[in-house]
Amino acid sequence: MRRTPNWGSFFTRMETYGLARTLRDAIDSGRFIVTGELGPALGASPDLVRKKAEHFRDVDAVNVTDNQTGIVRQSSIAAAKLLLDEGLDPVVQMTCRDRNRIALQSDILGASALGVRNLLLLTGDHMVMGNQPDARPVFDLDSIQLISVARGMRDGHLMNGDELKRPPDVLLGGAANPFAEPMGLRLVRIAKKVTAGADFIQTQAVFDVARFRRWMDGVRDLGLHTKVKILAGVLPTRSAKALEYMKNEVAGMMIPDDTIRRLEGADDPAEEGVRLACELIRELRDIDGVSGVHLMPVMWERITPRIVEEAGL
Amino acid sequence: MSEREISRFSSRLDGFLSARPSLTRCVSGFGLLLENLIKIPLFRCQRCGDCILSHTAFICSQRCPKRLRNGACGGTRPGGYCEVYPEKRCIWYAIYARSRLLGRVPMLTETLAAHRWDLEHTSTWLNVFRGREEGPTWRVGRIIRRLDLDVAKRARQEREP
Repeated sequence: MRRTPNWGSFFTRMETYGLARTLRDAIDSGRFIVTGELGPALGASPDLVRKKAEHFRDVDAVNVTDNQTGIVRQSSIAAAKLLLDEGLDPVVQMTCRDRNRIALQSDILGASALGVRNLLLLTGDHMVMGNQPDARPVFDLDSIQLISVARGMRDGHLMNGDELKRPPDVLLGGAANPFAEPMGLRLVRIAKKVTAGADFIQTQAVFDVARFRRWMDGVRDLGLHTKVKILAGVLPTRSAKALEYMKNEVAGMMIPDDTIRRLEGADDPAEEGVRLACELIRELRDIDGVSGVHLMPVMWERITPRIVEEAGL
Repeated sequence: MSEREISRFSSRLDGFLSARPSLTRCVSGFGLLLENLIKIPLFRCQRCGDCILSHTAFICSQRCPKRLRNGACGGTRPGGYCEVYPEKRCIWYAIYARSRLLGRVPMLTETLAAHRWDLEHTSTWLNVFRGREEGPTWRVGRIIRRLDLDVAKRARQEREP
């Protein structure tokens, strides 16, 4: 036991509004990490984010999506500030779809000034997936370049080499899709993200555990699981229709037909959905190298506390 | 030529051309014409001016709708079809397949810097000679050192003592 007060973490806490649970604490403590995800509201009211926040009291941090699938929502940084005021630790998602390198760097600084301590840096869905496909695609940087830019900023310099007086104190995250082919190229991508400076990796929603295990074998072969925290994605759902929709419409989602049939055949799809998620979490937890789970209860945020409790997280 | 001589040559050429804007326009126009004549039919070049063909097994990655330079995005559809154009195959699948065929996978493991938009629609070859951007990558060793591929080997050895 450490007898001297840990002033370092005390001051970090002071800066992040004295949050009860933070992602950094979870990573430092080495316990099994749980993160959640919420989508900001369509509209100018702060109430929806505040209401959704109540469902995420039991997780370490909450992802705030950045105009997911190219559909306009409140700004992820603004919604993250609302979460901070509610006492939750937000993970701000940043995509390269809508901002060039100048705007991205400025947003990293701004988010950090507001108290955001975690960023998830993504390339982002293309706007043709959303409802304004006529928008101009930016994609000035890609996720790997953005991670290395953010890491540079954390080390005290901008992309052009200019020094930062006070660098942002943020954890950097990346995403990985273990289910897309070819596996070799996917592993190259995650290795690049780790080399660029990612601290944690959140994966696409896992339904096919066997496939995920094979991907993790590759990750362990590269020794990446010791350098980053890998959070496996879990998507609790209560309807087969929603899964069918996601399978066809959301980029990068691979959902086996067995899962859809299982939900279809269930008497109470909501109960079956909870059971399915808990089974998945238990299986994922046993895989060597998995440091946590990332819950994505799309349109079903209120189930989060129950899943956290029943899965024994 | 040693590396120092090459860099001295580039900086001299750059200085010479920078002082003569109209000559530069002529030379660069001619260079671009020559480059387009070769690269567009052979590689379906998108004229980004910051060429990475030697990293991507000589398939132009800038045909990707997101213009990714570091590998496929996570949105590809089953079977390797593009997120944006469902009828098209992802260009990165082709790049990966050919890289494996030609033994150029180590070149995919190097993180490539962001595209320099100020070089768009300029002649890459002239830019390389002027020292404005890095030349094609012929030496694999340098790249392997950067990513430290030995990590994989070491991890395996640790598990099997």
